[in-house]
Amino acid sequence: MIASLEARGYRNLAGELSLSIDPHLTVFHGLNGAGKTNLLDALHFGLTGASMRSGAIKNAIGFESDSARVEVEFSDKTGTMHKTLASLDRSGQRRNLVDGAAPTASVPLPRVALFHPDHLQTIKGPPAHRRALADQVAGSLSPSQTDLRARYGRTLAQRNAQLRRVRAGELPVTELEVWDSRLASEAAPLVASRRDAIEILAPHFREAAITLGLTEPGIAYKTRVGGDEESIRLRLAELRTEDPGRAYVMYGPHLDDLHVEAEGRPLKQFGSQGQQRAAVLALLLGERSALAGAGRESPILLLDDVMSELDPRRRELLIGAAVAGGQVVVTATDLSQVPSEGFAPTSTSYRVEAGRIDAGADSPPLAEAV
Amino acid sequence: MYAGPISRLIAELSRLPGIGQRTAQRLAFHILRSPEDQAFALADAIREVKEKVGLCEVCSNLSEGPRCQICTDERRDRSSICVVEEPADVIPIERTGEYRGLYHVLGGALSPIDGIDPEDLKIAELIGRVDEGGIEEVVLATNPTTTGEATAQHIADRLAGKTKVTRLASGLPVGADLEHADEVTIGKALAGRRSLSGD
Ligand SMILES: Nc1ncnc2c1ncn2[C@@H]1O[C@H](COP(=O)(O)OP(=O)(O)O)[C@@H](O)[C@H]1O
Ligand SMILES: [Mg+2]
Ligand SMILES: [Zn+2]
Repeated sequence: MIASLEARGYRNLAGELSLSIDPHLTVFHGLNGAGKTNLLDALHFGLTGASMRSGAIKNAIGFESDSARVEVEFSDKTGTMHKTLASLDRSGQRRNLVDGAAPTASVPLPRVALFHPDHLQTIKGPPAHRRALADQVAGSLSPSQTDLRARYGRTLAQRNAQLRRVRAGELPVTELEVWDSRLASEAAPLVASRRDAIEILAPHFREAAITLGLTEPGIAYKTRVGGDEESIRLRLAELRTEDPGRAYVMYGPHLDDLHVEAEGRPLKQFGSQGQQRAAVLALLLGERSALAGAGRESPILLLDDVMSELDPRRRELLIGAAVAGGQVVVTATDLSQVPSEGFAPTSTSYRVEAGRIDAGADSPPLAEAV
Repeated sequence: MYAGPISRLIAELSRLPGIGQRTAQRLAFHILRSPEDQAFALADAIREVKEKVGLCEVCSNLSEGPRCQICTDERRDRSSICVVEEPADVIPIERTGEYRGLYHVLGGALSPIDGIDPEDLKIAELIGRVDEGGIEEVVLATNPTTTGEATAQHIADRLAGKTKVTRLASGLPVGADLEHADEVTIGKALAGRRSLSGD
């Protein structure tokens, strides 16, 4: 659970900013360009060492600053408090510390789940986005599976490098055997982990999607890779000897996809913008509730710029479901867009203006030192 | 920026793995300030290692003579060969005290991306040793990485039918290098090795 955020020199955030994060719902509201997204980004940077915006990390240093520094205080499962520190300066020096030392597995950092309008790509974009989602869910449900994707990717890159040399006539086709065999050994657990993860996620996704107004929502894992390691190995051997051409290269979990649908039709082709948004939110909420079901800590959910796109009823349903799943931080141009009374046990809102927290308004105790 | 000899030293140091420009500068100034005998001892040690240490003609491990200490040690079990990627990988296995056989250092791992083929590694030499006879087990202790696994597989295929081939059990953290694993873990991995092909 995240307790507080401190930032200095991060993007447009002014002065020494320090604020508490509500155990349930925190709202940043203010005009466009005030710094609401930058506050979410500061949290993201403090917890992951990376900005949620694309581009060079140095761009996160405030225009007027030489360095940026973010600290996030959080409690672990036992309630013990810890503090992260992430910093960077213009010379490229970066530091990521937990309790003043290098991060270790003994103090796992709280995870972050983020909604940003760009994330509609998860539904609309090419399959790579959805494979990444499947692997991320698999990794969060079972951390030991986090590197399966990278291992498969490295093996595939080696196999394809070998294939190029075979095609160039530098090597006989038999020189592919070892790499295909390795590829099969890496593909089988990857396919299994995706299948298991999506199977676990599906009912949670469906429930969240229905809450957000989708009809007959569904998610399914689509792969052409069936069976165990040995059958994958045999299939690769067949393709390799028949014709090491297109079909051969097009076989493997690197071509998997997820089908996300409503009303029996894929949202990628037929979903409205609003339905696609609901599906992305349902994926985030579904993953959190799947994690909770597996007894794992729920990631903090950062919802950027989503409220203005929803009707009042959907806002209530979203906030209700989000808060039920764990800690939430939301941005909105207008506080009234975020239902809190009756939807969250506690909530804290901050009015953001020109990179500062406006102390005069609705904010509870906060320290904005000089 | 600096006088000739200093910038030369910085340039040489920054060629070492893991040493960037900044660290190279720090080391160079440290050497400059250190007592003469210490600095010369470092220079001599570098010269000596290049002049005296070569590769063992049998196992390709580091050696001061034509044959390394392990290959010449009468007490070692000559019926088993443990195959590793680099000389540095021998040390952690020795430290476990679990293994009493001989070694074979490949000098790397297969990697099509880097153009490293079987001929670039000491694989033919390994097969030659097995073909000479008397080898009852070959333990493949290449790293559990993409390239290490492929190398193990390639060797297992080529040794099939010649001798028993085993692979270190996966007690090693996935992707971890042998060089950085601890003794208990490697010890367990040795004890739990699995067969890749019968004899
Ligand atoms: N490195 C930086 N230093 C100073 N200001 C920045 C930096 N990066 C972005 N900004 C400014 O932050 C403002 C946008 O803040 P943002 O958090 O996206 O606003 P919003 O409240 O609409 O979410 C822009 O005016 C932008 O110029
Ligand atoms: Mg914004
Ligand atoms: Zn030797």
